[in-house]
Amino acid sequence: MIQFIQDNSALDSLQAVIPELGELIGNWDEISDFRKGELIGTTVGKYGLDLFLFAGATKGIKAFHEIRTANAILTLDTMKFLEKRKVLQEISSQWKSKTALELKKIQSGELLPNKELYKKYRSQKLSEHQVRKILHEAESRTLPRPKGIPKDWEVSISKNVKGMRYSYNEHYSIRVQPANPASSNPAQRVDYVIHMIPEGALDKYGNIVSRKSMESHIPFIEYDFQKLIQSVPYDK
Amino acid sequence: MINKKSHFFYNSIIHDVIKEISDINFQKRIWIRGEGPECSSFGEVVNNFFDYYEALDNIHLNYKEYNLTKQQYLKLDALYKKFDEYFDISPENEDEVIQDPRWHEIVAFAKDVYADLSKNPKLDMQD
Repeated sequence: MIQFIQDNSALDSLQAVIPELGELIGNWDEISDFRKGELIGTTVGKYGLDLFLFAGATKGIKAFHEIRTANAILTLDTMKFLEKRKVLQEISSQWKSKTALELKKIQSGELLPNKELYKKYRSQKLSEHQVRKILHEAESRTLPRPKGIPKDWEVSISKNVKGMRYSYNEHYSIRVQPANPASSNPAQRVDYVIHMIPEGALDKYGNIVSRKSMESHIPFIEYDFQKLIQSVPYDK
Repeated sequence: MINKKSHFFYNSIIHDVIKEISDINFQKRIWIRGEGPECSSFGEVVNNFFDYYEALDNIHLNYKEYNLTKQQYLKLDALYKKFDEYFDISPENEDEVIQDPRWHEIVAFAKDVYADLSKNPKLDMQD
């Protein structure tokens, strides 16, 4: 079941409305096994075991059966399952409908995309799936997650809502920016990545350079996270 | 003795981002004309300033750890608020930002903040 929770992107949309799930998935590598158990127990207790069925996929059903086998008290009869599924669908749709309304306003020009989007979601801990969904529906292009970025790095929307930021902490972060064809700077006219460390930025070879240098704007296709962290590890 | 937090604060916020906000000639040369050798934009300044400032460890309580006086902290926070307000109404186009009198007010305020805070005895900083 733990593997299922870690891997299942269908649970992403439930994080915003189920705080225990948000803490569990968002802080997976930091929290103790005891706390994980506590959070899984609370989530199942409050929202029902069929949460895992709702999240879909064979793995979810497998997780459901594993828990049910382990604890007969948690067994659900068919009627209850159907009722609970409705509740869970309702919970899940809350986040989606709330988001859709904001995005519709943005698309119609009623709200300014950059500012409103950022302010709306800055205080929410979002999964990468949610960040991408918000950006796509606001018609912003996103780039694939650079290979090798650990799962526990936080993902957020850039303040100018033109890119995504992956951060280990405030000192180590990676900003992935789509090209701006109108930029007067050639390095910004292609998709690029800025890899920040406390001493400044890294160029594509792992040398420390100024954030404002051309070299700190690494073309996305040349960016190699794993190579750079070998030069400057982020957890030292 | 300079701690890591303070080093990051002066290196990344004061001598990098606030310096850039305070320099309209740099903005014209790099953001608009793209003359190099540097590379930056209004969007990059926005992202970096707010990411860094908002990640500071309770600076309203711990400003002394950053070697700031209360007055300096209040000035810095005022810049943050002014910039945040401006961001809400800022034009999409950098040319318009550069010509916007409201942006010029932020630039002048940032110049004052930079002149004050960069005097703090801190780092062997490269420009």
